[in-house]
Amino acid sequence: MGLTLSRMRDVFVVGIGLHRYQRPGPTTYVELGLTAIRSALADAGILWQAVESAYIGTALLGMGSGGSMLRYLGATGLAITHVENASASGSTAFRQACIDVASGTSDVAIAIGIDKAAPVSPGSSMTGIESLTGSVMTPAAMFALVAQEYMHKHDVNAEQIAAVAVKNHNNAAQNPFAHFQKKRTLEEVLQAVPIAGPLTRLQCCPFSEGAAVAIVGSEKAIQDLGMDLSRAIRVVSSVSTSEIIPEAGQSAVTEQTRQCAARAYKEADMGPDQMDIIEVHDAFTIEELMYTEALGLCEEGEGARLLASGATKIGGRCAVSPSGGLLAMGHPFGPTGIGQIVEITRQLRGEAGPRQHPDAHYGLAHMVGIGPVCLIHILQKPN
Amino acid sequence: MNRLPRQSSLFFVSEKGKDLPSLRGRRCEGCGTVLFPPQDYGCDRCGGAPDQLRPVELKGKGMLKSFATVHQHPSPSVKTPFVIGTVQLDEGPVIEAMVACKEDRELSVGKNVHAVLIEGERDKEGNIMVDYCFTPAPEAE
Repeated sequence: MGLTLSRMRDVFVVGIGLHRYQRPGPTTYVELGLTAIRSALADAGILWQAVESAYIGTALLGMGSGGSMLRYLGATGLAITHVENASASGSTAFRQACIDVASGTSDVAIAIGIDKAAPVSPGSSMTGIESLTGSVMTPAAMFALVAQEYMHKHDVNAEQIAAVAVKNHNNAAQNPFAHFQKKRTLEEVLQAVPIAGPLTRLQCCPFSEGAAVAIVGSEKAIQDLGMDLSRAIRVVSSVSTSEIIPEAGQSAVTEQTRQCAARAYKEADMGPDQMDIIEVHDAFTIEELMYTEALGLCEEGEGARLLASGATKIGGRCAVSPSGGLLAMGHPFGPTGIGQIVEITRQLRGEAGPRQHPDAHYGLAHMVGIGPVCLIHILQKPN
Repeated sequence: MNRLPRQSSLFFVSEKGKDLPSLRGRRCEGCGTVLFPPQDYGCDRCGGAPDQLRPVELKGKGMLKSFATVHQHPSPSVKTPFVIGTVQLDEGPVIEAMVACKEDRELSVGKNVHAVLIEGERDKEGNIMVDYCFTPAPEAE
């Protein structure tokens, strides 16, 4: 195993910016991206010319989209790399930007997540291997199967799972960048259009467009460029993993997260009890319950009880999905992972306004993508 | 007019001397794992080379690990609702498959299921497309 982020040069998130996640519409990717980039540059207090490398996280934009957008900031000849990792494209772009700064390759790097709605054509459909359910399976159907098995194994009912959507829509109602900004009652969530198994439409993330940007820099860059050290948030851990074979009886879905989290906590020399903010891959309500368990907030099977206790609300023991998550903030593939970093940074800076979780010092961003891949980042507010 | 399997690499529509329609799988000679679906790329458990993968027949019996009724599908040619399930085959592989049942109340996690061929729509040449599904096995006497 090579160097971990924590054993290289310190990396800080120094600037964040978003274009609201929204229903697919006529806004071009250039407008989505430039809005978020200019916002992040202003937040950092630096010029575009200071950025030395750019990683563009996008699953659907198409070949070489970055240059056609970044030239309008003034062509500087910086290194541009497009990063695709399905839903985890943004998280992976962020990781690469962090590695650039940690390794000393760049002093300032930018991770830009952008996606517009477009037909999804996964690589897995081109392997030449047939499937009994290939033409009928959907992500919602897959997680409906996961939900049914979970409900049976842990004696949890549909209402307990639906409660995740109530919390996350409530959070997003206070997030001006969220796709959905409307509180929902449990009854509304349960009565929404049934999609598959116990999952109704409000328990499935929407298909959004949007953009999210995080600028990372070294301590040297912060000093040289006169950035505000008191608003810089340190990236203490970055772990990227892919498919693992679970032991018999274990869920591959959660075991991958559990193993990735174990490495991330070890790298940061921390544990789940120290996390104040967690943003997870809650594309479907059932996922938030399972990942809070796999991330160590509670024992396996206890996720619904943890949620019902209020522990994962803003103001509880550890705020989970304070942005509204994929369910309510939205899920444009490329931006999502970076949007998690944006939310955690706001929280750790104490700038989350009505969504502020008190005394937030540590945050964890968890993302998965088709592959499956799993990436976890841990951020820390320096003293 | 022929009956054709919707996935011809995975099962046959007419087999003689079999109580149940079988599924085509592979067995890795390196690690002993039984794999489904069949492929000639390599063993996804031990990474064994394709020449270690031997064709095997899976008997079409198993246990229902999960199931769900799908109410919405993005493609207009897919009729909803339909039921899908996760089945643990007797030989080991855990697979996703369609479930044939009148309503999902008949189903429960842990129920024994067995294979059944269900006729679907006709293709452009008039052939009947056949799906390999699972259905609750009769209770033992």
